[in-house]
Amino acid sequence: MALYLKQFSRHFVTTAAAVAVIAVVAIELLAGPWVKSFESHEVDATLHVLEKKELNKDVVVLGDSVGRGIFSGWRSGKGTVAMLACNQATETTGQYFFLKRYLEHNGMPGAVIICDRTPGKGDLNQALTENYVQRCFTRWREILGLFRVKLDPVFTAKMVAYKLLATFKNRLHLQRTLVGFTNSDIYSGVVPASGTTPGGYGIFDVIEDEMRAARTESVSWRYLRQMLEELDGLNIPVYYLPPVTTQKIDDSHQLVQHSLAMFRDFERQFGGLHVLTDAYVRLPKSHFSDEVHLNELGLAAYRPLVQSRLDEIVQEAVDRRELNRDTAFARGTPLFSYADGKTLRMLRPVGTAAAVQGEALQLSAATKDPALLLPGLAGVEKPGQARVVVRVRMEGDSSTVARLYYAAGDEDFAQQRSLRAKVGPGLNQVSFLLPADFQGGKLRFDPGEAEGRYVLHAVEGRIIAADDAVYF
Amino acid sequence: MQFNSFTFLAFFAATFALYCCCSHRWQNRLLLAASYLFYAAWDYRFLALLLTYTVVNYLAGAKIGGSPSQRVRKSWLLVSISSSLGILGFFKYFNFFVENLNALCIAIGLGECAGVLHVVLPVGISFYTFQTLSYTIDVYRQKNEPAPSFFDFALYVAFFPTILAGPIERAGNLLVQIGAERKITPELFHASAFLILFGLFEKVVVADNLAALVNSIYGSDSGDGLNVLIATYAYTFQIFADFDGYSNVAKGIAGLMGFRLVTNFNAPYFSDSPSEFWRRWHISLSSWLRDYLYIPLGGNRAGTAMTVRNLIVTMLLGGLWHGAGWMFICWGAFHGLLLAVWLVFREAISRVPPLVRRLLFFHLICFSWMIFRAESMAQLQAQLQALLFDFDPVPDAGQLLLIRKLLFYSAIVVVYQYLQYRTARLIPVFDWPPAVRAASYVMLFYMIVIFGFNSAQSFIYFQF
Repeated sequence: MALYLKQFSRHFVTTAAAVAVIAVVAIELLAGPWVKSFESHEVDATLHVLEKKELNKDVVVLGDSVGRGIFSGWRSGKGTVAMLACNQATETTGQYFFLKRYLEHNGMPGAVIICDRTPGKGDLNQALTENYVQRCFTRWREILGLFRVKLDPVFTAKMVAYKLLATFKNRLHLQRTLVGFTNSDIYSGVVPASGTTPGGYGIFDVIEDEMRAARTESVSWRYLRQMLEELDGLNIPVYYLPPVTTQKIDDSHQLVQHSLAMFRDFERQFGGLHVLTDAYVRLPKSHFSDEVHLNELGLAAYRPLVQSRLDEIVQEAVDRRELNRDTAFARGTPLFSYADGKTLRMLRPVGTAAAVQGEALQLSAATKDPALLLPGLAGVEKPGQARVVVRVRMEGDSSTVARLYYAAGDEDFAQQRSLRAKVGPGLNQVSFLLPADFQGGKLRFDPGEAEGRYVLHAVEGRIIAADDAVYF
Repeated sequence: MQFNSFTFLAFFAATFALYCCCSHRWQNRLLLAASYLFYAAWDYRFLALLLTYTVVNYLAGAKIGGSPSQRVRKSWLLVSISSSLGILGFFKYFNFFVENLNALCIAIGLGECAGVLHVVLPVGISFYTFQTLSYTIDVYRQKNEPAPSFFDFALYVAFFPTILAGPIERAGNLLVQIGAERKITPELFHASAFLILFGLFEKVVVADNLAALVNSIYGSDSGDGLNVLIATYAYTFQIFADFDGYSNVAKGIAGLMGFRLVTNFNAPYFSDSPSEFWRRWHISLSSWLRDYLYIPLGGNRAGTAMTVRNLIVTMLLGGLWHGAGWMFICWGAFHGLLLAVWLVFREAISRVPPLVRRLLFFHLICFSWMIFRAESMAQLQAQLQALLFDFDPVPDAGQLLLIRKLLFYSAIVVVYQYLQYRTARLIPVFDWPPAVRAASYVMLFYMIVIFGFNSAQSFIYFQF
């Protein structure tokens, strides 16, 4: 070891090799911004759009090329839908990364629709995975996340290579740009050749097969679950739209049946997930351009069958976002409002120190369970199915979950009688829709589940009509 | 696990990191374990075969070296040769001989005499067979001492940089280095790093891209003479870049760990005679054939006729070593014939100007690669017909692109070989000023990064 280190210090660093290494680093740093604008396929293009533009749509569509085909010509979806559905080789893992990037620069969508033939299936071992996932999703968080889930150092090494070398990442464009060579084949990444012996008797193949067999959950399944969990935490409804299949009982049909069963399981865990079983449509083979993609005739036949359901979902999503933009909330009848220093002072802190600063109430939580007791609400009078909505505008230091507890006069606060909302660092506005049978009683607001600083700007309650309540 | 794969990168990074932290004794143990893992990555079932070779030849070497009786020594040598060649013959040639025997039997009306076996050819078997044979023969000839340690001998047989496609190392070189404490000098370190870079360039930029070009022409039935000519030139550079690339990476990897492997190629396409070509092409095989086949057959000691016979027999077997197929035998025969013609008409040929001689001989080599690459005599015949009778020297747009690619991918290799030839230095880059050297490293790196073929292709010589 010492010998090698000595060589690096005494001989290696001063030679042409060191100059070459420095030159490569400099070229990569300079080339990075230049080649960033290159796009070779829909994943590149979508990522480019997500980085450069604010989409801020009401609905996000995730899925594969089948989903993309269904939604791309959808008239009423125009202007309201962010199309992130892409090639099937991205698998749910790639779709999860898309969604994460979308949420970075855009407002919360009112709904997420998943239309995918193989949701939650696959371990990113497909021929085009390298091109669509490893080459494109190269943030350290994504690389490390995949390493943790996949446990494949070679897979990770490739992602790191694509991350560090902008020229490697965009090599096809550079081949075209520098010498005018074109490659008509779709770039599948640097695919290792298999061994010369047939049957997969290589020791690494065997180990990989064993690991795959031992793993009960696929990589994509784990990312699907994570995505549903996070969307649930953000109170964003998710719809699974089963892709259209042929009338034949074939692989596509089996896949959809499997996906429906899986999503129904998830539906029991995540209240915001809706499986659109009734929107599963099967059409004659003549309506397909291949085994899975609809042709013009197929699209013309399919759209009317699901149009009204999809329109409903979009309308709900639009309304939900509208509500968050205050309009629907403003329609309601005021119940209480603590929106300035004078009124916020009336909230009683529990497990935290509170002080009014200007027009806001600042909490310094020393425990993981800071809370504020709101003045009691005796006998709320509301017509029929009208609902109470509590809206909070607050700032926090970290990502956490805020919770509103409600209880009748003689009840204690309990987890099952609480509503939760994900909050992030910075300014947040969250709304809690209390159950229709809530007729008044006690309210407690927990701004987060972490120690630290919270600043409350407003806590307001309104009674809203049943129609409006649907959108919460 | 190809040298040009990320899997190998991860494997070597881990091995090398551990290697740097070990003492000499543990370095050898580590390399042995890594070599078995490397071989098992291809097909773990053949580890038993590798161990059989190791045990039999180690035992034979020990018995030969330890016995004063010539009869005992000869018996153990026979055990070593017959077992090694027997295994090689079974895996590599059994089906070939059965198929030809059946063809003969059918031709004379006897019907099929024997059934073929569905055996898989263990990767690298031809290389480690020759390597172990050279060991026992050298011990028998008392050129070498028997290996002092079984583990050292096992590493000599299975050493991962060389096991798949050579260079075919002699015990006098590799085994001695395994036994001794290895010294890594800055020069060796630099040379090794450069060889890896250049070898990868040759493989993934030159050989793999030219392979795509060659396969596209060979795969089509266009029968255009110019296409065949382009493919022939392309294959000539492809096979060189492929095998020289492999050899350079192997030498570089071994060099980083302090080993000095033999040189396998030395600007062979600048040779002006067949004998010079075989001193520059696949040197470890040609010298093996010379030392263990040609010279024992009598070499050039018994007159011109016997020398010609020895040359042709040696080259026929050399062709057969490459694979069980008639085209390989024809390729060997052609080279044997070239050597014989050179031997007989040497003086007359030497009067031809060197440049003309070199060009002429280069094209004879190109022709030999046509034989080597052809899958059958009929395909070779069709290509020759296209070359001779369907040759339009004016290229169309598609052919112009092929020519551009051929020139782009092979130019650096040709220039580099020329420099090797002119300077008689294997790494002429090291004579250049530091700035030019640095620029050439950067260029090679970016050629690999940008123009490296999309899919890591298997090395041609792995199939032999």
